[in-house]
Amino acid sequence: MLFFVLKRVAWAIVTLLIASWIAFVLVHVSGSTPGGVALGQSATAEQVFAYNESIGWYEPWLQQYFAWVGQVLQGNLGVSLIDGRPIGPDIAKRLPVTAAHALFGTLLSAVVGIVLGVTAAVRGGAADRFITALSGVLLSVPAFWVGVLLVFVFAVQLRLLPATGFVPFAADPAAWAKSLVLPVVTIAITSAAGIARQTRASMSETLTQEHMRTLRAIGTPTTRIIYVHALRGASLPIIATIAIQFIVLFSGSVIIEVLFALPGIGQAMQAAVGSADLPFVQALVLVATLVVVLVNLGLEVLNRTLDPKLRAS
Amino acid sequence: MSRFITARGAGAVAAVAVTALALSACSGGGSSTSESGAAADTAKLIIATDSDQAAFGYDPIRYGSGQRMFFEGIYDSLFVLDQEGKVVPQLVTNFEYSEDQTQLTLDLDTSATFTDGTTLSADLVKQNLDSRGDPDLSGYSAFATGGQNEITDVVVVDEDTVTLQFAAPKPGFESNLVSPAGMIVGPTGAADRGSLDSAPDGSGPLTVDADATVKGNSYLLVKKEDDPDADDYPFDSYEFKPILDSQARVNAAISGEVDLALLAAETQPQVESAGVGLVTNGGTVQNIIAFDKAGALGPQWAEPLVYQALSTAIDREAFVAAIHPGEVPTANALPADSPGYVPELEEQYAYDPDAAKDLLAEAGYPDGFSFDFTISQGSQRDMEALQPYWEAIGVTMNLKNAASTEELFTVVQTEPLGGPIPFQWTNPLGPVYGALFGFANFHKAENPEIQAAAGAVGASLGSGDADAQATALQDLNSAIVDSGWLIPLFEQLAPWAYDEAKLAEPTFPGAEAFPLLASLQPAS
Repeated sequence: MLFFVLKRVAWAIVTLLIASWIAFVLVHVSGSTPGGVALGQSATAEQVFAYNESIGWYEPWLQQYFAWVGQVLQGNLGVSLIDGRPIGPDIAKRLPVTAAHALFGTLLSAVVGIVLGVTAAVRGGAADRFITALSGVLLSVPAFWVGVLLVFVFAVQLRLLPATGFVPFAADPAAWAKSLVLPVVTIAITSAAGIARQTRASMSETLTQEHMRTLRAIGTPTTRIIYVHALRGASLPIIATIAIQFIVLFSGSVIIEVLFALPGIGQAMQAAVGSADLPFVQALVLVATLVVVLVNLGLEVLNRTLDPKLRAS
Repeated sequence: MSRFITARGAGAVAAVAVTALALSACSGGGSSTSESGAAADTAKLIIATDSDQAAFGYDPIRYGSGQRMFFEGIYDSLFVLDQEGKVVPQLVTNFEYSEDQTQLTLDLDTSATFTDGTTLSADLVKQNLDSRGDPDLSGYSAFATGGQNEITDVVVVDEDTVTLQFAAPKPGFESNLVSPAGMIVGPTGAADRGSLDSAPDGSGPLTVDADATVKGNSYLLVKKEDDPDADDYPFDSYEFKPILDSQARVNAAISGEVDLALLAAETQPQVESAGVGLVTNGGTVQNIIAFDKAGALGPQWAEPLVYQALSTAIDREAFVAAIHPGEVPTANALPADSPGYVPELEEQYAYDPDAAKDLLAEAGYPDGFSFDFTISQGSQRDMEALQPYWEAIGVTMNLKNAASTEELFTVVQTEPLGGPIPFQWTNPLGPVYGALFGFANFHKAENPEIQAAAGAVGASLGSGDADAQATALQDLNSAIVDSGWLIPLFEQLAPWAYDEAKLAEPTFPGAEAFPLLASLQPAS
């Protein structure tokens, strides 16, 4: 197991390097330069050139890349071209916001999705058809539309919850929780459908296996059969789906964050891309890739823990 | 298999979810608005804006008039706008022009105190204005060498007197020294402008509470202790929340989360139907701007009849209804509330494609012509909507997306038209010299009619004669539109939603889109 983990960590590092190199190259071939962005429309071509030269923009790409990697390893993600502020602390402030709604959204969608999927698989018949149809509808509904609807009902009409904004946990835990309810429920509604479908399919397959009949025959309680034996057997694809949901939510949170005015990674990415803040874009790509890599690593370790066949192989 | 158990399990989860929702909704405090009958809460005024007010940090000279409301409590300015939109001194106690109007002498209020305790001085004003060559400081671009409002030198006369020197007569120059261009940064910030990225250095009664501020999400301005001007601001603190999405801003206003919110025009009916206070102010006109007035890229661009044809070919009513519902179509460069508004221009440039073709033929282009136009994400929809109008009269506009930021910046040199670009006319000479003869005149075109009209406006501003001002502004308006240096499209109203229980109806300085921060009064 240790060797497996070490091997996966090594591959994760390689993945990070490849992704960051691709981001680096894309930034350099984008056509924009730091000087042009930082100095703006009123700068002369000479001023732009001088600025770019001063930061090493015209050095060989590999040289620039390794210099950047060296800085990153020291915890320095550079400074924003737009306001000159260090990028690292800015991202550090935003990470908890995105992590909060991505994590809780994933958890809630996992609970709801698994319950719905198990119900559909176990009960069958009308319940199965209803849940399948419902999940089909929820899969096709855009998250933005769901969010707007929830805001209209709970914030605008009923005034039960805030329409926008984020309150840090340290400032006010209750307000923090309130500020997350609508974004999390929005995520859960639109993400649970996919998990429900995967759960239903996996459970349906597992429940028809021979050992399920044996368990029933020896008098194992039904609840235990479903939630311990069958669900465990069906868990690998379900966990993979949940992990992918989390990655998608974490990396693609811009819609939710714009609608609810949450100061997270998604909002920062939108602003950075819109203003061509090249170092910021590069740093955000690195952070998003790191999350993907870490989640994948965790997923593989978990799979190995749950599946004896993988442990033995 | 027991369906009962499975259903019970699902039911339990659902019950937990509903209970959690209800509990979280009932817990904690909400935003404070006053109950009916009680005095309005003045602890904090929450203002939602459509952009990050401090995207570039806290150097006010990096911004334009759109960020004036945010910075005017933090920084004092040489001159400011009063409630009527007139230019009045703030850090200046007295000002005087030389006889030939090439020098402006300012006597300064040296009691103004900055963050580090130092007071305003002539040396500090010189230090501030001597940064006018810094390309980062866009607010100074017109004052820099070669700028239309070039300040050739700033001379310290004595410790509380400076003289600004110009290469040409500059009557009414004080209107260029209103916020934010006229804001004075303290000695720490003036010596190291980079220090303003993270903290302001102003003499105003407000400052940024860094602990409570989250960049890009929420900026809290609080009163400085013992500041003599603190009482000018009725609320104890002001929170600026950039909420970029217009629907999210409306939701925040209607739900009472914010007390004052800048809206998009098309969301006004939603706010009105929700019973939230609504007030609008005009003043910003969106235009297509001519970059090549000299004909450098093609002789047609030096011909006013061509621009008149392009203007007459646009069905502004349909364009606005389709792309900018709620805004006001206009063929005037100046807004409807301006004394320079000319109603006859609306008839003269009313939609008439046949007349447009005649104008093109008269200009020598009966078969039309084609040209390139680089669009950005912001301008794409507008230009795609205009494209068919011009195609109908034989003018083909080839739209292409900007491949980089730099390409977008260089279109002033490489393409004949640009925009849409908004102009505010509170200070009429600002758009004329800063844009028309400034950044948008790379090819150095001359226009004696506009220049003469602008000169008359400047002289009339100095004289205080309202009738003379109106006439001069009308002449300026007509000169700009008839020459085609601007093709106006619509007037953009600035609608604001406000909590009537907390805030009195906001008022605006003249035709400004943003109220004066100090003018926002609690509801009585």
